[in-house]
Amino acid sequence: MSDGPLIVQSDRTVLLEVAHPDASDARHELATFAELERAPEHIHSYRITRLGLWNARAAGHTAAEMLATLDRYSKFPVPQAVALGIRETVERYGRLVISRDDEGQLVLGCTDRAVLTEVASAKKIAPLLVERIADDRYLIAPWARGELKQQLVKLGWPAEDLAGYTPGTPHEIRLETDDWSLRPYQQKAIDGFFTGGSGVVVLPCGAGKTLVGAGAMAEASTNTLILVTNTVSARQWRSELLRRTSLTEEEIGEYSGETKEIKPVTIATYQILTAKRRGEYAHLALLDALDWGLVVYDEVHLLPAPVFKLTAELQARRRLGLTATLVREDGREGDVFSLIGPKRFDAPWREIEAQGFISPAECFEVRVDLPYDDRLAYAAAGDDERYRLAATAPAKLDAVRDIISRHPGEQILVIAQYLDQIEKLSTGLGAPQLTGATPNAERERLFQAFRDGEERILVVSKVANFSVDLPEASVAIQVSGSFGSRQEEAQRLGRLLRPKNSGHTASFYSLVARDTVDQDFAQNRQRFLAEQGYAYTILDAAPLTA
Amino acid sequence: MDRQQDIRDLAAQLGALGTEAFSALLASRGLTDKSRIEDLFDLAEWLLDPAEVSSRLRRLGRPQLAAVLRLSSGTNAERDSSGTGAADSLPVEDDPSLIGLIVTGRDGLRLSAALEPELNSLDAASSIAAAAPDRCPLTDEEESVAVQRAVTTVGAMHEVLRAVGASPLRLTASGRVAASEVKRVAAAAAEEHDTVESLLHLAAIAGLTRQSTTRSVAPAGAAWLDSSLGTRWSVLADALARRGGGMFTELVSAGAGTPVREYGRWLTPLNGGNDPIPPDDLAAAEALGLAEDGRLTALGVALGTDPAVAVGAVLAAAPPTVEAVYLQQDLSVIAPGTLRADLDARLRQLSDVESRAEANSYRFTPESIERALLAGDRASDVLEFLERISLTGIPQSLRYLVEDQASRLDRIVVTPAPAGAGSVVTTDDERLAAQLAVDTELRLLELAHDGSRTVHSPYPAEFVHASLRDARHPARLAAAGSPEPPADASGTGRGDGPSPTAAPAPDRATVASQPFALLLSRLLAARPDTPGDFEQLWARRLLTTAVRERGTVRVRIRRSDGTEREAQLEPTGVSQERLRARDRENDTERTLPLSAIVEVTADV
Repeated sequence: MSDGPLIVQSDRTVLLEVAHPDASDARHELATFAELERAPEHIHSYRITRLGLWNARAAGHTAAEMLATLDRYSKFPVPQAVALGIRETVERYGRLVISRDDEGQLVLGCTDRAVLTEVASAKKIAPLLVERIADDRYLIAPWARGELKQQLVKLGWPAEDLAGYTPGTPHEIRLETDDWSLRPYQQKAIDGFFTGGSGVVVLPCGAGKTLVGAGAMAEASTNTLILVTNTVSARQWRSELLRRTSLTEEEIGEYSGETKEIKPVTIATYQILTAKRRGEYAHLALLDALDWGLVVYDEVHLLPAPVFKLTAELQARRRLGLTATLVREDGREGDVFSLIGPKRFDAPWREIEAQGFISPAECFEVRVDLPYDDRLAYAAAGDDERYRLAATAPAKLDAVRDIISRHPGEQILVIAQYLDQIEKLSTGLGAPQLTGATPNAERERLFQAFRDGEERILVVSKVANFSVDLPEASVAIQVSGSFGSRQEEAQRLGRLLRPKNSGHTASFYSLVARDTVDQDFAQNRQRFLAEQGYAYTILDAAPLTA
Repeated sequence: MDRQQDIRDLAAQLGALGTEAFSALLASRGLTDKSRIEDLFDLAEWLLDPAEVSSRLRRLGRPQLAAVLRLSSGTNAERDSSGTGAADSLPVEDDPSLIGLIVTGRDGLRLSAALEPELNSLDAASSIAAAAPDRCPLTDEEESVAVQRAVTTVGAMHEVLRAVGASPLRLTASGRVAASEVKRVAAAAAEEHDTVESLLHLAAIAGLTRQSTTRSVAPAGAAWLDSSLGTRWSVLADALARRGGGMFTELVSAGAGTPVREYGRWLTPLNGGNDPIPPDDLAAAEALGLAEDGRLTALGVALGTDPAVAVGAVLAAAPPTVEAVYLQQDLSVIAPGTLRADLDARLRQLSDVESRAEANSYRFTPESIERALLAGDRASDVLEFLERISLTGIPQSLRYLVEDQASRLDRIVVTPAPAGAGSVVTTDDERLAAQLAVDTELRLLELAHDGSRTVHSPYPAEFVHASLRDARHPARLAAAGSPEPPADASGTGRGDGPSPTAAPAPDRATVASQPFALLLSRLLAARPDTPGDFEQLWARRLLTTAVRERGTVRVRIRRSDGTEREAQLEPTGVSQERLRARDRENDTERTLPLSAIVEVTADV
C-alpha cells in the first residue's frame, strides 16, 4: 500500500486520481483487468468485473499480478473481500478447457472433477455434451463449441478454448508500407490478437481500426471474410485495403444488397447476412462459400443478435472483433466475450489523443429556446410526437448558422435524424445533403468533394455515423439524433477525431430544445462521452447568436 | 411448594426488579403490549405456566442449567461437568432466563413446582456432559474482511435510515414492512433487497426505528445518524450482543474462532439441536464483523472484553475523513474518503448520493439543485459552499446548472385557492400560463386559463404541484397568500425524518420504541408500594382465582370486636370491596368487606 492514486472500494470499483504523479502508470496496469466506467477530468472510475478479470486472465495476467497492482498504487488498504473476489474469479478461468483429442474431436476437460460434474449437469449444458469419455473429460457435440462457451460464461465457468482454428485457404496478403507504417499501438493490437487466437481490439474512432484489421489479415495471410455495418463502410474497407495492402481489385469482393461477389477477401454487410427469405437466412451459404481462415467483425458492439447465433457456428475460424466500445445498448457483452473472444487490446481514447494520433475535441450542448408558438404546439402534442417536435424545432436552424459562422474555414458536418429536417437544413444552409436515399455513387462523390475541400458543409443523416473517413471535418453540429443512443453520440464525435492537417481542434455541438424531452435524451446521449472524459460545456443559443 | 405459593413468591420477586431488569425479562420472553397480563401476579402465573417452563428449560443456557441441576440435587456435583465455572457465580435470582424456573421464597432459592416434573423427564445431567465444539481460528485475511464489512454495514445503515427518515415505511396487516417499501429503500440506499431487510432488522434491534402504524426513525436513530463511526458501530454491535441473554458473553469467553451456531447449540444442551441464535441475528453479527464464516471474530471478542479496542479496530479499517471534494464537469462529486459529517449533510441537500464506500460519490441534478433552492438556499449560497469544499474549483456545467435553476425558480407558484377549493397556479408570463392550460401532460388537472398569468385547477395544490413537477415544470408550492414556500415544501425532513441538529443523544435503554412499552408501564404502575399492599393484592388475587376456578380458600377474618376467626369459604364474587362466598362449615352465604379479611390461603 502507498499513498497512491487509486482508491479500491469494497463495491469493486476503483477510483483513479488523475492528477497524481503515478496516475499514468497505475492506469496502464489497472486497464488490463478493470473496465473504465467513467473518465471525467479529475477522478476516473473503473469497475472490476468478472469479464474484465477473465479478459485479463486470458491475456496471461495472474490474480497475484492484479492484486500487486492494486496494493502498489492503492491509497488505502485493498478491501479483503475484493482481494478474495479477484482470486476466486480469476481462478475460474481456464479450469475448463476446450481442446481436441487425438482423433480431432472436441472435448471439454477439467482437472477439478467437481466443477466438471457441476457444469455437465447444468440444464443448458448437458445437451451440448455427447458423453463422458473419462473422469476428467466430456466429448462435445461437433456443432456446440460456440454455444457451450456461451453457456459456460453465463454459468460463471468460462472455458479456455484451445481447440485451435482451421488455417483456411492460404492467400498471400502483405502490408505495403512504403509511405506509411503501423503506429505502435496498432502493432501491439495485432500482436495481442494473434497471441490470443481470437478476440476483440478496442480502439477509439479515428485510431485506425481498419489498419489493425489489415495488419491482422497480413499476419494470417488467408482467405478472409470481413463483416461491416453498411455498404459505405464496405467500400471504405475496400479502398483502404487496396491502398494499404498488396490486395488487388480482383482479390476483393463485395457481398451486399447491391453486389454478390465472393473472392479471397470478401466484405459483407451484417444486413445481408441477416436478411431472410421465407423465414430462412438467405445468404448463409456465404459463411461456407470459401474456407475462411479469418473473420473480421467491424463495429462489434453493433453486431446484430442473429449474427451472434451464426458466429456460434464459426468457432473453428479465427475471429477478430473491432470496436470503439464494448458497451452494448443491449447488454450482450458476455456474448461478445464468449463468441468473438476476450478483449485482446484496449487503448483509452484519451491516451491515444495524448500521443497525438487522434485530434482533441471540445463538446458543447447548446440549449435552444423554442419560440412561443412552438412551445404551445409542443405542449399540446401527444407523447409520441413530442420528441420529433422538439428535435426538429425550426429555431435550431438559426443556432446552426451561428455556430457555422463561428468556424470560418473549417469543414463542418451537420447531422440530423429526420429527412424533412435534413431537407430544410440543406436548403437553409445552401449545403448538399446526404441520406440513406442518396445513391452510393453520389455519396462517394460528395464525401470526396468534402475531403477535397470543394464542399465545406455537408448535411448528413445517420448514414455517416459509422465507418466514414472524413479526416478534415473539424466541426460536427448534431441537430437531432436517435433518441438517447449513447453509442451514436460517440460515433458522431468519432467523425471528427482524425488528426487534421489544418491543425484545427475538433468541436462537437449538440443542439437541444430547452425544457423538452430533447433535453432529457441529450443527457442520456452524452453519458458515454462524458464518461470517456469529454466534458460538455453548456451554452445558451441566444447569447451565441448575439 | 404449591403453584400458588410459587406465584406469590415469584410476584414478590418480580416486584423487586429494577426497570431495566424488568425490561430485559419482557424482551427475553417475547412479551408484547398485546399479552393479556395486567399485574405482577398475572406475569408470575404466565412465567410459571408448565408450557413456558418447559420451553424455557429447553432453551436454557449451559451455566443456567448447571445452576438448576445444582439446586435440584442440593450439591455442586454438576459444576465440573458443566464445562463452565460461571454457574457458581451466576446471580440466579436476577437471571431473566431462570425466572419462573427458580423461585426466591422466604427460605431462599427453590425450583418451581412446574419445573420438577419437566426436569425429571429429561436426562439433563448427561446432556450437559458433552464437550464444547472446537475453535477454528480465522486467518488474518478473514479477520480483515470482517472488520471491513463492519465499516460497510455502518455506511449502508446510514443510507437505509436516511431513506426511512425521508418517508416512514408502510406496514402490511401482519406488521411487516411492505415489500414495495423495502424495494424503495433498496433503491434509495443503493443496496440489495436482502441487505435492506437485514439492516431493518438490525435497526429495530438497536432501537433506531420505531413501529406504530408505520416504521419510522426513532429519536435514537436520528441521534445515531449524527454520531461518529465508532459510536454508530458500537450502538449496533452492543444491541446485538445484548440479545439472547448471556449467549454473547459465553461466546466471548469461548474465544475467537468459536463456531457460533455449534457453540450456541452446545450452550443449550436440552434444545434438541435447534439453533438458539436466529439466522437473522447471525447474519447481523456477520454484517457487523462480529462473526465471519460462522465463527466468532477477534472483533467480536474485543467487543465483549475491551470495547474501546473493538471501536479502534473498526476506525482503523475505515477510510480517513476528508474535508474537500472533486467537483467534475459531468456533475459528479467525489470525496476521496469519508466526507466530514456536517459537509456530507450539506452536500446531500444539494445533490444525490450515488455510492458510499471507501470514497463517497454524489451527483448534482436539476432536481437536487431545485430542492435546495426551494428549501431556502440562494444560488450564491450554493456556489459559495461548493467553492469552499472543491479541490479544483466549480466546473462550468455545474455553475450553469445552479444559476439556470435559480433563474427559473419562481416562474410557476402553486397556492391553495383562497375559497378553499382547488388551487391557483401563478406564472411570470401570460403565455406560460396559456401553455400550461393546453399541456397534454397536465390534462388531468383540468387547468382553466383566465387570460391572465394564472390558471386554476379544481384539484388540491399539493397534487397540482406534484403533477407540474412530473411534467418538468419548475413549480414551487406556497401557502395561500404567501410569496414564501412553506417550511417543509421541499419534501425533505418531513415526518419522522432525522434532524441532525435537533437530535438528542443516543439512549440505548430507550424502551419507548420497544413492543412491550405499554405492558411495562402497566406492570410498573401495578407494583405494590408496601408489603401490606402486596399482601392485600395477593389476598384479592387468591379470592378472584378461587371465584374463577370455583375453589375454596381459608381466610382469617377480623371481627368487629377485634378478635379473629378462621373460615373455609367458597368465593362466588368479589366486587365493590366486598367478598361474596359460601361458608362451607355453616353452609351459609356470606358477604364480607375485604378490609375484614386478615389473611387468605389457598386450600390445598
